[in-house]
Order: sequence, then structure tokens, then C-alpha cells
Amino acid sequence: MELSITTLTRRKNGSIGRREEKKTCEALRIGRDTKEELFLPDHRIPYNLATLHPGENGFFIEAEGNNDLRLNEQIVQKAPVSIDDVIGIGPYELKLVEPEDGIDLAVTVELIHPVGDDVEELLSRSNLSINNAGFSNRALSWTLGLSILVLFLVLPILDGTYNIFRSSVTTQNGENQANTMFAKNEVTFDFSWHTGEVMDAHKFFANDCESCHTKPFIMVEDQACLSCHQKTHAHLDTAKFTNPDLNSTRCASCHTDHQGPEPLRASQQALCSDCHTNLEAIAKGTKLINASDFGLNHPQFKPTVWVDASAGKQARISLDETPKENSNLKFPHDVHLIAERMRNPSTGKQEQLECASCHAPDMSKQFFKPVNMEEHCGDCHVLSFDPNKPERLVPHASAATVQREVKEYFSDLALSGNIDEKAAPSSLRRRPGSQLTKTQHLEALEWANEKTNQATNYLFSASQCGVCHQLQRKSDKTAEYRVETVSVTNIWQPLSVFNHEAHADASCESCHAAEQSSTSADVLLPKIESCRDCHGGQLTSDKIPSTCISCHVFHNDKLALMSPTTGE
Amino acid sequence: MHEGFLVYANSKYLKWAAALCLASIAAYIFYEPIDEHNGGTVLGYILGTVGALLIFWLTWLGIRKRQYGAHFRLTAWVSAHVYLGLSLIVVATLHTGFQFDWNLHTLTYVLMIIVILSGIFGIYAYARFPRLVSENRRGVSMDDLLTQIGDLDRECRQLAIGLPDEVSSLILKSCEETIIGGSIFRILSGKASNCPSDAAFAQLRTLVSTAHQEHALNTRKLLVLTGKKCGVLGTIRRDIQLKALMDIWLRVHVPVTIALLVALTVHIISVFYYW
Repeated sequence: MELSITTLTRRKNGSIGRREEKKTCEALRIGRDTKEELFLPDHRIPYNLATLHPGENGFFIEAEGNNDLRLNEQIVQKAPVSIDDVIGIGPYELKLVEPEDGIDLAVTVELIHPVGDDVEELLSRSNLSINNAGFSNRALSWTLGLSILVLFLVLPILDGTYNIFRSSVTTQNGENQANTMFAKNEVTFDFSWHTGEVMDAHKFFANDCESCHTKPFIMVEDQACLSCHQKTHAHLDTAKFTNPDLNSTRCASCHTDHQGPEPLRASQQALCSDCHTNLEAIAKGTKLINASDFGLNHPQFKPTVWVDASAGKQARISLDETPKENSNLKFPHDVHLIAERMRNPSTGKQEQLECASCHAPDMSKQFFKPVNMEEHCGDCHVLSFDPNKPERLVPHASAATVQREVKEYFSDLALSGNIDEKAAPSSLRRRPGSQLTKTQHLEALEWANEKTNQATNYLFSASQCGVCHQLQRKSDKTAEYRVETVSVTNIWQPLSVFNHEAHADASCESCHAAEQSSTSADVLLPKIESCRDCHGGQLTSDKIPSTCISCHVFHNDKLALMSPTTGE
Repeated sequence: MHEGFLVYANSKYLKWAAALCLASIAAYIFYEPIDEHNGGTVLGYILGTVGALLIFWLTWLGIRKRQYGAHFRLTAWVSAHVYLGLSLIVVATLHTGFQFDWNLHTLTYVLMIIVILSGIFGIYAYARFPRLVSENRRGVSMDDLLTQIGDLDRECRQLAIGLPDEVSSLILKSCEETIIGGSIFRILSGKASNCPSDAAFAQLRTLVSTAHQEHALNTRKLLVLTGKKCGVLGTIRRDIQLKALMDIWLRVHVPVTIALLVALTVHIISVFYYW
């Protein structure tokens, strides 16, 4: 067949250059192979791309191998073609045109997509700088900044102060449930403001910041604390000490929160010594002695002792002044701790008494139960009064009770008869049950009175009650006695905190010189020097650092309750 | 010297920063808080104020140091920015009293640490990478490198015309689908997985041995040209990687600084809102 191939070239000025080539061939083979009828010198074209054949019903085009062709923008591999069909071959376009006379097939070929500038195309595909990738600095800054602003400022304030995210339930008395500290523990937006773990006792309302932080930008006020802690006592008598400096200390100054689970966090002695170093300056007229450090600046202990138990008088006396307690009790500790002198009358055996024989810890184990006569003394100090019946005892009761009991005892004996006592009237030695005459009645009464007097004189003598008690005979004429009131101090320093259990590993004698004490007037309290053997002030390095509140309490139970208005 | 700011004025700002750190540490050791060390003690407030002022001032420095001229020297500002910025690690950590939790306050601290760490990387980048860039490029400009690639591609295309499809398709892909850089991670990695040029080079090495006699010479030429292209691509990729490393820290440093300023402001408001 006769073939005409016209190569079209578009010039820059828009005109089209045409170069025609005529060939005689069997079919029009298209490809990069130089042997092809349509040789396209472009590496983008396959070696053998396709062939345009003459057929029975005109021409058809057939791709070689797996190559694809674009016939009028349709992907085909084999298809009949006719005049004006456009076949896309890689970057070329092949168009069938009306052939001239004597020509069987006429096509035009045009390079539609020439090879571009490789560098430019490479750059257009590539991205050489991270500044062209992803977010811009500005966008990222805005996003991060606004997110933080909304999440950590706007939402917490709307939540905490305006409660707009809380499920609020209005109770019967019109109270908004969400505003109470008993509101359900919900996750809240102001949670992110928590500066640390709340103390255990406050955890049940820890999500409701406003229950303590009642006013924005105002430090937690005492009213917030006292709204719950209504039974807390003051530290000082605000009516007596009116210096405003004394009353300006906030609860939270010592009771810091958001610092962990323990209740009272602040124990620095400086909290106390700020005022107590020079107390007169801030609290004129105080009777308290200055103190600032247990090891270095602390007065001698001043126990509260009974200076006159009969008159009910107590006083605080420094141990340096060797206080004597006038308790009306006679008790030598030293004798009781010597085994040779302790013989149990019922067993006849010697006994070694120890401190614990009489001093038993109380429930708290910090202090001791009061010593009880029947329990602790009665085994040896037997209150017998009738030599014929030594097992018969009087109770450890008032003098009147004892005297009445003795009298009743002997009266009963006299009336019953059958008394085995030679000196007794014969009528009293009669058989029991026999009738008494009036004379015999009087005899019996006289005998009973006499025996009662004897026994009472014995009981209220230095060998029975008088061993421990101060006795007074009411009058010379009668055998009526009075026992002076006994008042023994159980806790020498009622305002201090001392835990005996914590000191259980130390022997009692290391603090209490009971073995050297021959009189109950001795105050067997160790001096401060004894404590200082082990304890020092807060800053000590070679002793147990002990701050003020190791032994003292701030809130004094003997003072009025704290008032929200004064705060002290 | 890019690291000239490190020894500027006899390390004046290093000394200032060291003094600030030592003073903070000494105060922390000798100050006895009523409770435990934290941001709410007297010392905590002092350290917090110093830290916050430093942060605001250092940010302002960051802005000022971009404005040349006037009364300051760029080196002086960078020196102050670097050393006082580093001292924040001590000041702010002591301000926290080592109390960290899942809250806004620790978030603020973490943002500050991210800013400082990115800044430290920036110092490292400016001290080390410019030399690596020169070593990598060996005096050739980026434009020259790209022109080399264009020339190599043109030669490859020309040679490929006379070669079988399996070869020319490799070259076609190499010329038309090779990409330099791309996403931040690709740029930073300095590598390009599935690079068509690398693939062409690898396959040409095997094709060279099996090529038809008439194509053998050109195929071998193509192999050499593609190899050269891969080399140039490697240089360019390393170059943009190094430049990216010199830029990336600022892409963290600046937005996180803004986040830090907001968080710091909110932190200050919040602790006094619920005082």
C-alpha cells in the first residue's frame, strides 16, 4: 500500500511546519525501532508499539504485546480506525486524514508532549525544605496556644466557678447539689489545676475546688475551714490578747494541703518560735516563758503538782525548784522495790515488785491507769481488824463506812452469841439461839462497843490506815476519825503530749528515779536535761530532731472554740 | 565561627547564668519551707517569678535578635539567650520542688523543657552542621547539582532511545518519577526508599551482563550515568537533610515557646485563682 506520513511541528509563532514522507509498505508499523515505517525517536515510545493494517473493511490498528493505545481517548489494544480518528501514542498523536489520490493511507504525526525540562519537573515533584511541609510555625503556634488556653483556662473557670458542666440536682430545700462538697465525685475540668495530692481527709470533696477556694485570687480563708471544723479550739484567749498580729495567722499557714495524704504537714518549729522567742513583744502580760528550740532554748519542765491536797490547791512548779507534792498519801517507792522488805503476808514469801506491778498502761497506752488500793496494795496491806478472824476485812472506803461496818460486825457477833473469847461476858458465850434478858442485851452492846473501839483504834492507827493515810481524830472524846483527802497527780503535764508506749524500750528508771524516792512528796518526773540526752531541737543533727508539736498542741482544748470571725 | 556566641565576651553570660544557678541551688538548700519545697513557698514564689521573667525576656530576645542594627550585637543576644535559657532548667526545676503530677503546672514545665532541649539541639546544629554541609557539597552549589541531574537525565534519555523497552522504561521512570525530599520525615531521614533512580541503577547492573551485543556498550554507559545521578541525588538529599536538621529545631522551638507562654500565663492565673 502507499503511505503518506506528515510530521507536524508547531512553531513558536503558532504556524505549523509540515514534512511529508511517502512510503510503500505492507502495513504501518509504529515504534522506536529504526526499521519501523513510523519511527518515533523517543525513549518514551516502546520499541515496537503497534501496527496499522489494511483490512477488508478499512484499516485497523493493533498494539504489539501488552502496549496500550488511546483511540479517541479510549484505551484499546485492537480497533478499526477511519478518517479523522486520533490515536494517542505516548507523547505523540497520530491522526488519519483524507489521503490524496494514489495514497492508500495518510496520517499526520505530532509530538504533543515534548520532553520537558527534567530539572524543573524534578523540582515540581520534590520538596527540598521542611518549611514547605506540614503545618506552618504560625498555624502550629496558634493551635497549641489556643488549645491550652481553652482546655486549661476557659473550661476550668467555666466548670469550677460557673458549674456549667456539672450535673446539678436541686434538693428539696433549694440547695444546688453540685455546689455542696458532697456532690458526686466527677471528673472536672479544673482537675488540671490541682497542684498535688490532697490530704486524705479532704479527698471526698477534692474535686470541688470551690469548697475551699471560695473566692478567686483570695487565699483560702479560715471560714472555709471552720465551716466543717467547728469543734476546733483556739490557740489563745482572744479577749485577753488583742494584738491583731496574733490573730492573723491563717489555718492554711500550718495546715498546708495539696502536699500529700498526711493531715498536718507543717511542723517547723519556726511556726511557733516566730512568736514564742519573744512572747512579751506580741502578747503583753503572758505568763508563758519564751522557747524557740527544744535543745537550745526551752524552759525547765513545770509540772502541775498538788501543793495542798486537803485544800484542793495545785500549782505549776519548775523541776529546778524541786517541787514537793502534798498529796496526803504516804508512799515510799524505794521500800516497795526492795524484795527483802516485801513479804506477802498470805504466802509468807518475799516478792520483787516492779513498776508494772502497780502502773498498768491505760487504753491509749500513752499513760497509766490510776493505782487502785484493792488491786495493787490489798494483797499485802490487808485491812483486817479482828485478831480472831483475820480473814475478815473492811472495805477501802470512807472512815465513816469503815467504822459503821466494824460496829455492825461486832454487834452481830454479840447478838448471835457463841463467842469464843474468855474475857467476854458469859452471856455472849452462850449457845446460839437462846433468849437474852435485858441485862444481857446491855452487856452485849457494851461488849460490841468496846470491841468496835478497839478495832477502830487499831484500824486508824499507824499500823493500818495510817501506813498510807494522814488521819485526824475528830475529837478526843470519840473514836471517830477522818482521813485526809488523797489527790495524786496522774498526769504531771496535762497540756503536753507524751507517749509512754513510744518510749517502751527505755527502762522506767532511766527517767523516773523511783528507787531513790523515799517519800510520795517527790515529783518523779525527769528534768528536761534527761529528755535532751536523746532529743534535740528541729535542727539538731546528732539527736532526735523534735519540733514544738512533738510535745505540744496548738489548739488548746481549755480555750474557746475558734471563731470564723477572728480566726483564732 | 558559628559557635562564636558560646564564648562571646569572655563567656560573660555563661558566668551570669552559672551565678544564677548557684544562687538558686544555695537558696534551695538553705531555705527551710514550712512544709515541703514547692512552688507555693516564699522561695518557690521567688524562683517562679525569676523563671517566668526569664521566659518572657528570652522570648522577647528571640524576637529582638532578628532585628539587626540598633544598640545590640547579634552575638551578644544569642549568647544571653542560650546561657540564661539553659539556667532555666535549674531555676524552674527548683521552683517545682520536684513535685510533678498530671496537671497544667507540670505541662508548663514539660513545654519549657521541650523548648530548652530543642534549643540545645539548635546550638548543636549550628555548631556542627554547617561544616557537614560544606563537606557534603564540596563547593558545588545546589543549582549546579540540579543542573548535573538535568544533564545526566538528558544523556540517559538519548541513550535509552536505541535500547530495549526493559532498559528505556527504567530510564523513563528514573527521569520522570524520581523525587527529592517530600514529607518532613523523608527529608529528615536523608534517604529515599523506592527511588526509581536507585532502582534503575540496581537493575541496570544485572541487565548489563545479559544485554544484547549491539546494546551492551550503551547499556554500560547508562549504568555509569545512572550511578553518577544516584551519587548527585545522594548529595542533594544529604544537603537538604542537614538544612532540615538546622531548621527543624526551630519548628519545635518556636511553636512550643508560644504554647509555653500561654501555659505559663494560665499556670500563673490558675495558682492565684485558686490561691
